[in-house]
Amino acid sequence: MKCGRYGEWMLLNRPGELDEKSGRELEQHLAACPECRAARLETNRGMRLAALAAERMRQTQPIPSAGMTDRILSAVAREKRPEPARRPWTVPFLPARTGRLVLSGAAACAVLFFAGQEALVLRRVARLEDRMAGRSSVRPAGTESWTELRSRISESVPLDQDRVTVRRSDLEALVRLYPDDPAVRALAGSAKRLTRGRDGGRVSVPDLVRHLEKDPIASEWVRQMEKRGGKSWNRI
Amino acid sequence: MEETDTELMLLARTGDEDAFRRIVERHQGTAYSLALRILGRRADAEDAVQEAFIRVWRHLHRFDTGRPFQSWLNRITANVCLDRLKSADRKRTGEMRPGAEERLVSDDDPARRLEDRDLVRWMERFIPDLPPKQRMVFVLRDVQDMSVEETAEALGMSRRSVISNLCLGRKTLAARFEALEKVGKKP
Repeated sequence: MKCGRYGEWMLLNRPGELDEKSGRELEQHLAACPECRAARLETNRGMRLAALAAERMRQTQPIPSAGMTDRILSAVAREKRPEPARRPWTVPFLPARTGRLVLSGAAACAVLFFAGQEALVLRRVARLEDRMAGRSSVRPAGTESWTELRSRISESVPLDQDRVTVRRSDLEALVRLYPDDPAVRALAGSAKRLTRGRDGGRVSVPDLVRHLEKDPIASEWVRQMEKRGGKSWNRI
Repeated sequence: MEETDTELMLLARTGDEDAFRRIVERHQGTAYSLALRILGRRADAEDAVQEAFIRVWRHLHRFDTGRPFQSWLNRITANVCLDRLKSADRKRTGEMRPGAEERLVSDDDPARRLEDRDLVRWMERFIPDLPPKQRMVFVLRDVQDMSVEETAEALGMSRRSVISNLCLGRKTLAARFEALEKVGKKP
């Protein structure tokens, strides 16, 4: 009879380590194998002392030195949040410098075009929020506008860069944080309905936009988040 | 109402340093306890906890809000400790010289039996003698009282590997306590 695994099983004496069936098998083996019985007797005393020592250690919590919090926070303050690695701009078939000039020009045109669009959308959101002002008890802090507050909140929701999806649990955590904001509630409610039973609790941002058509503030907010794009979301 | 860890982490992601401070205050004790028991030295443990929280800060956006923060922190702290154990080319604290058990017990009182206080002290000296993986598994499972599954997750190991390392660690420690007991019983 092979005793190898029984030697290991004899050391698994805490709940959840050995299943019931294996436990019975071990007892049957011990009843039939004098060598293993002797081995168990030999290690029993040491095992009990080691288990008792571990239990006593569990009951005492070592205390870190005073000022460790400040030390950690100063070390963290010296850290910069890492930005995603950037590749140098290049255009195929063009020298690197010319390529960068071409891309810079194109980017400047795009910025001018989208800045105009952005201003239109922001005005629309501001008008909608004025109309909805009575619905919410949440107020932005200090001089922060509604749009800035929501923009700050949306930065805490990480977006999957390739699939443009968000986690439902992240949106639900936002509801716990901002329970009075109807837009946050509408967003999480839609995510809950959309993710029911599929895709591991993730919901695509375009789906969210379609689902939130009836809630103007929330849908505009999601459009803003989508417009800003996943790359900047994840660059927190 | 006090914010949950997940809520504090969401706030920290937006750059709220006060939220991060509260996370540190809430969890540094557990992280320190884990690190101290693995590394064996207070200074090393404090450095490891600091490194762990720096990693948390760097990777705030990777935290999965659907899972407990404590598990994530345990995993990070365990990884920091494992990195340190692997790279450390230093003498371990409490490394036993041959015959040290006999000296300590017989010098104090030849007839003394092992007491609880001694057990903890001896355990703290025996743990650093275990190989890194056995040490990590033993501390997480038997000292920090994590389940086998939690231990496997924290260390990125399979359940089978956790069980195997746990058995080896327990066997070594049991043998050392057994030897200690025999010496302690001598008149």
